[in-house]
Amino acid sequence: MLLSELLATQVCTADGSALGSVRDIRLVQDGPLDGYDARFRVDLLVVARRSVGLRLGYHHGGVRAPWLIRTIVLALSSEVHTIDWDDIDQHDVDARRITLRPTWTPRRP
Amino acid sequence: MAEPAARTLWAGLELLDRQLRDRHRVLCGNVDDVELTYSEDRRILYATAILSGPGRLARRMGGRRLGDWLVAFIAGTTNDNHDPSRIPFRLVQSLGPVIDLAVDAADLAAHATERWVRDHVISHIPGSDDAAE
Repeated sequence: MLLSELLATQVCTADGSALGSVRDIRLVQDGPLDGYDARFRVDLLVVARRSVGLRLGYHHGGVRAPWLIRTIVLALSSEVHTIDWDDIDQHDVDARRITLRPTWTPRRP
Repeated sequence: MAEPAARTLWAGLELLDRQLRDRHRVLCGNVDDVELTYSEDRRILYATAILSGPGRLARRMGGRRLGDWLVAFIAGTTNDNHDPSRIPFRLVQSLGPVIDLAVDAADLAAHATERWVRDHVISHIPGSDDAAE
């Protein structure tokens, strides 16, 4: 599977409510050794209906300034969900659809 | 969100479209996509390779058929039919604004067309032995 395919995947809750598409993923380098380094595993998904401003880094990239731009971008990205990989119940790669576990509850980053 | 103790990387922000540099610090393309592979029990998804080259970019931009054809064509130009657009993460030396690789630029897909023209066209032109002088 390709990252570009995962980024086009729709995410919905266990009761079928659509949360949006995967917009970014966080990788953590704590997998088994591959050469001299540990492998990167997918740890978090950033899911949103709209991708406005998400690649500027204000939401999940640690960018803080300028505050005016940050405020506008965060206001536009109010429906952004950060979802743990462990909260995924099913991932249909061909249909590009992820279904979350019934225990998943929304949280703000 | 909780920050793990191990190194973290946002794939969209810190990996996609980053510049690649070979072992001699020669610029050799960009990160056009990333290969993700499930563990055997399908519980964990690993990032296993950086993908770079015209076929990979075409596929990411929606040209799946053209992209697959380009990847196969470029693989066909190599001596052992390997895919030069696939760079395993174990060949990544450092990750940052520029990604340093432990490979030669000439072995990557970004240089495949140049390599093919050199081997199949330029080398057949009389006097081409002196081309580098």
